[in-house]
Amino acid sequence: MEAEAQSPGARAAHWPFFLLLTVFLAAVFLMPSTAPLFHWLFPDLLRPVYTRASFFELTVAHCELVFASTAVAAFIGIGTALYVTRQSGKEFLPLVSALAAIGQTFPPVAVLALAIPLLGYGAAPTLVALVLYSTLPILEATIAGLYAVPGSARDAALGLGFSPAGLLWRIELPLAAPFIFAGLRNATIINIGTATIGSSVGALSLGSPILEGLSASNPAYVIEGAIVVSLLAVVVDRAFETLEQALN
Amino acid sequence: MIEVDSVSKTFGALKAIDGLSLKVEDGTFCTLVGPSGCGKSTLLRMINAMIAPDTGRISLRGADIATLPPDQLRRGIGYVIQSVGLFPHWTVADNILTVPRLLRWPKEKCAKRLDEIVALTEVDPAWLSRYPRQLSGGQQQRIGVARALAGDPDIILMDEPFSALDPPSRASLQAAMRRIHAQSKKTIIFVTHDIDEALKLGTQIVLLNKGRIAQTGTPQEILARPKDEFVETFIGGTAPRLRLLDFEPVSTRMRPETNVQAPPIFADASLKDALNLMLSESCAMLAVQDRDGRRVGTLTVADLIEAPHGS
Amino acid sequence: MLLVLGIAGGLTLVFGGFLDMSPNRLASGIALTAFSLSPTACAAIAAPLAAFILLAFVSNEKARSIATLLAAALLLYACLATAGLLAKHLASPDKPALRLSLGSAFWIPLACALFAFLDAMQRLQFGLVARVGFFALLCLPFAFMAYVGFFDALSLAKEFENHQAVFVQALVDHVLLVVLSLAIALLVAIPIIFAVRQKSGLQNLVYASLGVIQAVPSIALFGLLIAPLSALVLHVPALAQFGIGGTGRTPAIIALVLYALLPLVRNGVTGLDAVSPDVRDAAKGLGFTAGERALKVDLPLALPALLSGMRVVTVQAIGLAAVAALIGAGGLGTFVFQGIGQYALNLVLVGAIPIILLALGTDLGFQLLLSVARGQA
Repeated sequence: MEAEAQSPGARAAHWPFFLLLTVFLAAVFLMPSTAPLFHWLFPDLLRPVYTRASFFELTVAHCELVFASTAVAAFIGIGTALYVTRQSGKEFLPLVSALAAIGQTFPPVAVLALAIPLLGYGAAPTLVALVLYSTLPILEATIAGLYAVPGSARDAALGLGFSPAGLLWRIELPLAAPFIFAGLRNATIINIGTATIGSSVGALSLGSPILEGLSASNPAYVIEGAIVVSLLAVVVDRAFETLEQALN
Repeated sequence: MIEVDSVSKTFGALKAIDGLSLKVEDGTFCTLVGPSGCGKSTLLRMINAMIAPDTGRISLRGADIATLPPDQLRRGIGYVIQSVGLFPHWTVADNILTVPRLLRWPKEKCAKRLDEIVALTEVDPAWLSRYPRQLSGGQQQRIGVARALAGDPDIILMDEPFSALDPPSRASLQAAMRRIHAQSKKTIIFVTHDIDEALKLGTQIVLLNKGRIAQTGTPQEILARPKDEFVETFIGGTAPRLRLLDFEPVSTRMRPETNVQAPPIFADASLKDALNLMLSESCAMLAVQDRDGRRVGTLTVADLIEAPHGS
Repeated sequence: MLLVLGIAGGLTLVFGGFLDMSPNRLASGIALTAFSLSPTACAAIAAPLAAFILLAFVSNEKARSIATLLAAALLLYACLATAGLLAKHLASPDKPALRLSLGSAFWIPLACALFAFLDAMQRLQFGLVARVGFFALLCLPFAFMAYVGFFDALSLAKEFENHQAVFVQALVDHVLLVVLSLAIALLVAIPIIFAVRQKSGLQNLVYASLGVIQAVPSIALFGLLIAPLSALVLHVPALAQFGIGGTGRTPAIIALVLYALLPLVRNGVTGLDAVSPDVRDAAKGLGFTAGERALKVDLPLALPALLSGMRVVTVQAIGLAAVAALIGAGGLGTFVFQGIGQYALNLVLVGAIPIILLALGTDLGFQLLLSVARGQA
């Protein structure tokens, strides 16, 4: 992977990102004008374009869900990882890493489903499920990253007179950053997907047209929602990729 | 008999083998020796068709190997490499029986062969159920040798097999190879960059330089009459004159006198042993005996230094 | 550690609802605390929690961990027994619509028990087999209790009973969906793995394009496949005879295969790359044919990596297959989404709990397989 990042092919990977971004924005804003196209594809449908909410509103709602949940998850995940890797939190490390590993085998849908009895319908259970689920990859990645810091680097830093806080901020976190970043990327992508399903419990998101289309046998709604949310996911994934390369 | 006939091989700009011809008789322990990049490994790997020559032909018992199916050919030739390459997912016993199983020998024959090989190569039977990673480097290479012999090939190719080992393991495996060669009379082609090892093991030495044969012959021939400056330099570090004493028995240099008192030595001991004894006993003369303890002659320092007339 | 678990469990026990009682399936219920239902039962659950708190002050790690295992087992069964008994006590034949759901004072102490198990087993350094064996032993009495109808009064059990006939079918459908996709994905992945290894230039392209698919949300990918597949079946009606359709299993399997490809290919390539060139050289020199080399050397040596790829993919597919219920592919997800739609939360659990157990069980199974495969290599 290291070698790939240096290749000219990978450097040229920037332009597809901006191209994708343009296509995504076009899809969001120009969806209403695609009515003739969908009408031509599905002549039987009375309403070929989803109009209950504009795709811009849906996208904003979707992004809010994802951003809020990922931010909270990052705060909890990184915080917990830092705590259990310090002397004072060492006691919890085995349980926390076991939980992070086992928790990730729980399917996101199941976590979403389990949040309903506690929180009812709407955006709240979706948000909680997203936070719960996406905390785990961030937590696991951060622990892995902190453990990947070479003992010699830590040793040398302490020997040179770093305080524990200085060691954390100036040595450990920068060295663990690529891992943490990968965890964040993973969590964000999972959240974009789970937020889509979140519309089944009543949260407004880009999944809403898909689910409504499925239940009302309107394939045009399904395609519209699917295209926009897929583009959103791919754009965000590429953005992370580009950032990752820039950071390296 | 292995015949290499005007073979050349080029890798990119590098001429690895340059119009080389060589004959190796059956039962020979042939050591290919030379500096790195001289083409010795390439030559070896051409004999079991791991590398195809650009021009020329290699034949085995008169048959051109290019005409034989490579897998069949290789199953009939033992192969030992420096990095051993044991199969990590198989036990030692499974590793040894690789080729018999490729040849689909029946179970009983395999079991019998395993016992024979374990005895011949002095493999500790306790290792058989272990996995390669549980063995030391020297132990692994012993299994490598056993694996190469298991299919009972007439020819064994060995590519720097002992170069990566610690000196005691190397000495022990070298001794094992000499014994195995003496017992089985197999043809062995052995690549090494270590002239000492080549002289110690080989009955025929092939000294290579830049893809060509610099000199070939018995160890004595090479040591006594280096053909050119390259050979001289290459064997220089081995104290060749001293080394030659290794190959000559006391009986060829002794004089018939039997009445002088001196420390005893057997007539079939090497001249090197004799010199060593003189040095350790601080004497200039030894009493030569045969194996029954009868006095047959006397050896002096002067006899060691000057070859007898007519030899 | 134990202090936190004990206090958290204790607090929810005192303040949280143990059983939610509602007059019928749809009405919202009232939460009843364990203490208000039966002080004895409450004490039975509180005792092991108190034991946790006390155990936190035992300094001998081994003794403490063993005692924790015991206390956690007691806690687990105190919760289960109380739930069954209290529900039986509250239920009456003249109110058949009465629903009794388990509340947070049941679930959280239960979770505390499981956390305590995990932590103690980690500290006692139980091996994989010991862990699996211990949990199996722990589940046996539960299975027996469920079998004899101890929990029948709980509405979770009622929902399960109501859907029993469909449940088996859904479970089979779910497993079939996952197994079938995995098998197809393997068949597709193997040639890709070899192609990628032959031509290194291909690797970036394959990884990038499969990586894009990974990012696409599952329900979107399902949705995107429906229209083209429907059109295809419309134009080639013969396909319908093979059970291929625009909705249902076909798009679900295609999507699951697409998701599975990247982890399989990446792990396969990594596994093969890790096979030492010396071993390959030796195999060639000893006269293995190309086929024998692939089958007897490359495959077994790359197996651990491939298996861990399959582990990821299978666990992921179990979750994705649940989403596939939305496009009519059947499976356990059907209960989840039906339950969500009808506001029947116990029905959601009938789907969600087996999905989780299936995922956990599969994960454990693969871990066992992996440890066997690694032990050999």
